[in-house]
Amino acid sequence: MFVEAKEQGKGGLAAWFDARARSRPALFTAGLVLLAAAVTIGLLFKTDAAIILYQGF
Amino acid sequence: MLGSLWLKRAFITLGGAAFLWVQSPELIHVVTLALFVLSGYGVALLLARRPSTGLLAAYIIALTAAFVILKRYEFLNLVGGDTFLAHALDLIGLSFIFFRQIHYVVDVKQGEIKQLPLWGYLNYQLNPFTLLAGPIQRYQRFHEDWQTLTPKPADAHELRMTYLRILIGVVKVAFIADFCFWFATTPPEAAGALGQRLILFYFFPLYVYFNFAGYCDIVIAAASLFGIRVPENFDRPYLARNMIDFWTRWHRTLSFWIRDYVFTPLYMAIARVKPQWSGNLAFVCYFVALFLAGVWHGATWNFVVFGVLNGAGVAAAKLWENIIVARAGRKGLRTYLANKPIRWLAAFATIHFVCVTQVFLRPGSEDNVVAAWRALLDLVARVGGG
Amino acid sequence: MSALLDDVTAVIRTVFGDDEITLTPTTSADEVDGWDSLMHLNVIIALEKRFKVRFSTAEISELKEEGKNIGSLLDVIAAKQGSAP
Repeated sequence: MFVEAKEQGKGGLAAWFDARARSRPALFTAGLVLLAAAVTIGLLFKTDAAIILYQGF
Repeated sequence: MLGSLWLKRAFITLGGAAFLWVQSPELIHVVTLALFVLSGYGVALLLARRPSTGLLAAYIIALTAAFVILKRYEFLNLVGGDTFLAHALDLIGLSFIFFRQIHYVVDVKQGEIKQLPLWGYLNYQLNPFTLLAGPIQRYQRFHEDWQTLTPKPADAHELRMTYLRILIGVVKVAFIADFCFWFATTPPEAAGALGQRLILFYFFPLYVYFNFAGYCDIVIAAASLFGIRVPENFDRPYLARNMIDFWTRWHRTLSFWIRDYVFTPLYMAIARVKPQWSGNLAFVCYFVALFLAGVWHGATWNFVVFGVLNGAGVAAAKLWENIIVARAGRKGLRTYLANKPIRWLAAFATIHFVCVTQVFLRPGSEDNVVAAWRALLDLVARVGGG
Repeated sequence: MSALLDDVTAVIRTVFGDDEITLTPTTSADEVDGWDSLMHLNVIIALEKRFKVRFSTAEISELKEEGKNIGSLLDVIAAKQGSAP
């Protein structure tokens, strides 16, 4: 114990993303761009979105 | 991207300076920070010429004193009242700069760092990728990268994965962590009193994890684009089977720093002279090391509790391992470690213990700790008097 | 190098209290039962005493990393002995 853990390897989810990125690069890039757009919009409207989403609670 | 090495270095330097100015616009803070950082460089130059243990020890003590005062550690109250706490200095990233600096001067003194460029050192300490909250990278690796600054992604695929990592980091920090914090601190009425406590108990640590892990994703990926390798800080901490294992999976660069610059020197210094104490020495060293790691997290009394709990947790883990080896030998230990149900039970218990320790990371917990301590002292006084 | 390997093996056998341990230059720490961070320090201390050398913080830490093995250890010791007066 207090043993060296290996540098973060390609386990589970990371491996899945990696495989998808290799097999369909164009599609993956498109997804990446969409994600970037979603994140940007999300950041811009975060406070407003929070109010709307969490009204349920 | 950019043509020459000089241009790349200038770009990172300017970016770092701009970032620092935005985070810390007051001149006095920047000047103090500069003095703090440059003192390390100056001492390193002296140590490179003449590796004096006395100078190194004196400097580390002085630097630690400066650190403790600059961070306004509460215990200073006990030794000097308000004198040390009465300043308004707030230096960005100081805790991480402090640890990087000790590593730097120690390694220079030991001859592990032979070249001491000023520009390289300043960027090692103040580059925008690790300024805010690490990861605590070692100077040698930074220095290597600083010589070429070749972007790390080797092909289009790796570049895509790097961008993905940045985006995932942003999602973790700005959305998931935010939600966890909001949910933990304003849980729904419908959950009831106990439910609200449980939500806070579980979701605050989740907030801490996503906030920190997300930040690490962003800075590690971004730094790699600029040719700097920053070490990983996390390795699925929720899988930890005990507190020692936990600290190799959570804020790993901190644990490795503590192992190399606190645990090892402490253990070696004593064991070299008194090898007969090695057996029990381990517990003391584990406790002291993780206690210091704990109080490094913050200046108020709740971090002392955080430190004590973590110290106790790792000491207990080592004790448990010793018990198994004493009962069943190394073979028995191997069988125990291979047992799946035990492994999951251990992980379950560890996660819960971690959640308990993180109660003391919460803002506001310092008041509770001080109040509880006062109540305890009152009780003792009454029992003693009555 | 093989005399050095024998010496180092003898030291490590004493530290672990196990005469059965056999080492080759390619043996790594995780192949030896019980060679955790703590045992690593005990080994270093014993080697320092036996060979009258001193390991630096960075050396101790690096020797425990992935890819390092007994061969790396032998190299470090040999280098230190080479530079000893």
